[in-house]
Amino acid sequence: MNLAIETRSLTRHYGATVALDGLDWQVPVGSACAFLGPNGAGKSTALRLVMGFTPPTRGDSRVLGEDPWEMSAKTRARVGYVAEQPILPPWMKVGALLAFHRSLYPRWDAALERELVDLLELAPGKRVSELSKGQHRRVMLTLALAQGGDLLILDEPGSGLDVAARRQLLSLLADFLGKEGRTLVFSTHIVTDVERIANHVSILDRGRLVANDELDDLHENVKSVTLPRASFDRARARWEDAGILERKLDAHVAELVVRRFASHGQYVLRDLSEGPVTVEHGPHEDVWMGTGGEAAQVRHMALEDIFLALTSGEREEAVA
Amino acid sequence: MIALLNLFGRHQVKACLPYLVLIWIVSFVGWWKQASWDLILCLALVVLGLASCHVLQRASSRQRMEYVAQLPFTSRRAMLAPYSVATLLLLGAGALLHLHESTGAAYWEGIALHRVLSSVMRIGELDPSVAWHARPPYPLVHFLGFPVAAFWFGTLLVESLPRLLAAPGTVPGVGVRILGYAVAGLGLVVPPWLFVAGVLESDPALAAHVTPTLAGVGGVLLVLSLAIARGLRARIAANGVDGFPVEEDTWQS
Amino acid sequence: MTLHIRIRPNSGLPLYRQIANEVKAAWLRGYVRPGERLPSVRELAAELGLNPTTVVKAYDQLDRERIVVRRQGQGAFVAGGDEPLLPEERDARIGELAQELALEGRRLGFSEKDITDLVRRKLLELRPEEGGAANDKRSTP
Repeated sequence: MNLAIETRSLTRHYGATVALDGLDWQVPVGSACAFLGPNGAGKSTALRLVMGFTPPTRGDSRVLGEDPWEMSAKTRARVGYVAEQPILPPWMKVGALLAFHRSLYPRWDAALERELVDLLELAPGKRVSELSKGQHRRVMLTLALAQGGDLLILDEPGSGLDVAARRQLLSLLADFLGKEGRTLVFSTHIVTDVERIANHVSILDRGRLVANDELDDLHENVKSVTLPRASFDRARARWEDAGILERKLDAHVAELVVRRFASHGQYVLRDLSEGPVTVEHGPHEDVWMGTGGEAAQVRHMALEDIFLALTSGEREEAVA
Repeated sequence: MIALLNLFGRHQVKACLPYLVLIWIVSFVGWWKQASWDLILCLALVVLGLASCHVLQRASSRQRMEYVAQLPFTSRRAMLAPYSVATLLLLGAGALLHLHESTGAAYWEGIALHRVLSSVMRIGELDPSVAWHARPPYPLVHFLGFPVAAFWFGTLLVESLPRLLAAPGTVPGVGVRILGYAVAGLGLVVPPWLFVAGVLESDPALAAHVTPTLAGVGGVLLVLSLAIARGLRARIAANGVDGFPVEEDTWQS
Repeated sequence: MTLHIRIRPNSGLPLYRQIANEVKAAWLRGYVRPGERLPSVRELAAELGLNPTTVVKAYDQLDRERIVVRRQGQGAFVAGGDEPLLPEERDARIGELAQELALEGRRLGFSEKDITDLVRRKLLELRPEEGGAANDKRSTP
């Protein structure tokens, strides 16, 4: 598999603070990867390392096959970047900036540039210092999209944008993905946007990856399971092997969020020590019948809930 | 590299142009008025200093560095370029100073400066006794010129020293900023005071110390600025954009 | 384009299925005519702000169900109703759905009558307007 981004034990310390702790991350070419994580998880740090803005303390990474800290100008031209902060030179006029970039990138798409200037209502005569934060972001987006690169990295692209603007952004990203071999990586904490555009999700928590899957696989694997308390107690070990992210137990019912619940037509509970435990299933997707005839309800979880379950650590609530 | 020059050159020429024009005007006026090279060099020095400040200021925020680093240049070279440019400018200023000295009207040169520059630029030693006792022929000009020059050295220090002393990725603390202002203040306050004390009060003993002290302070400031430029360059080479503290541009151009 | 697709990202049904269902419903209700060209993958993806692979999956599903015909280099077209499903496929598919409905209906406590009434209501909603694809001979059991 061709990887657009690959990191191995990527670590970054800032004095005593560990911003990134041994990140092993792979983003396949052609994927739209949502990079999620709570504030302070290290997303921006990871993106800065991947962009080669700063060297790692330990470990290494490869972006389009090269070390980002030493990336050749030619490969750098294939990577588009939109920062979260306004980073464009404030003294330059928008038109001059567009002209400057046009001269730097061999694959510059002039037609797309014109389209975007129109669509995003950019004012070429204005100085960057005179732009609002939203307008600044739109200029950065135009520069990154018209660049014609293969890899687009966006740091919190939806932050500070209203719903309409976010939809417009999603549209543009969808269009970007329409061409073969293009990879999109964006960090965000607006989880609803993710479901539309991403097919790959990487979740970072406290400097470490807690998930790195295809979105569909993540949904298949992380499920909410409700089953009779007695059944749970009997099969507790198996459920724990499947990885319980959250549990709420009372006298009658056990409500769990389970991490490794994968379906292959028959629901198979992955029991790592004893091998897979196969159970019969009812024809309906939501009903899982254990070998002892215990019924359980398995529910699809919204990505937001999966995210919360994966990033808040295992929680146990015992009621009654 | 040519494209880099575009960023810091062509697109910056508009900003640097005034400085270049100033130098030309100053030189022309000086030649026309048959002023001593002293004046011309002094003012050219000031202009060069302002220009290097300008370049450093333009390049000195993390935001700016992040912008440059994602352009299709070899990242580190792009990030380091402004510091290389600034270093060159400062070295140019130093060369001018040395030229200044060799014309015999060594106002700026103190033994300290002389010795340091000699070792940094590997230029041969001059007779220190010549530098030590010469009186400035245009005291008023130097009275004005030195504070201006001190000001730009000072702002360089005020802007850059805190950045150098702050840990990568952090905002420079109050203490470090005060240090920057203090050092800049030295350059602004001490020379005029000494000058006033020496010339207006006609205290020969004190007057004898004015030249070398002023020269020494100027020299120290120059060397310090050079060191800072090099230090920042090394900082970036090791840390990338984290070599800069996270802060908004302090000057809006 | 009379095709109006609404999707709900968090509803639990995969997005590609939602799109396929919307197209299917439009087809059954006659909102799209046989031979009509559907938006290209890129167009639809950009319009909905979706990953193009999702749209591809939807179109693949529709292709499998013979609701849409893909023509090389020209795009996706609504089926004319003249590409028949194999009888085994039809029986299996409808049998599957019927069993699910029966099981779930009983599990949730609906009576036989409730369930058949529900089915009848749904069929009524899908009653074709003139020229709709559902209004052909194959729908009679």
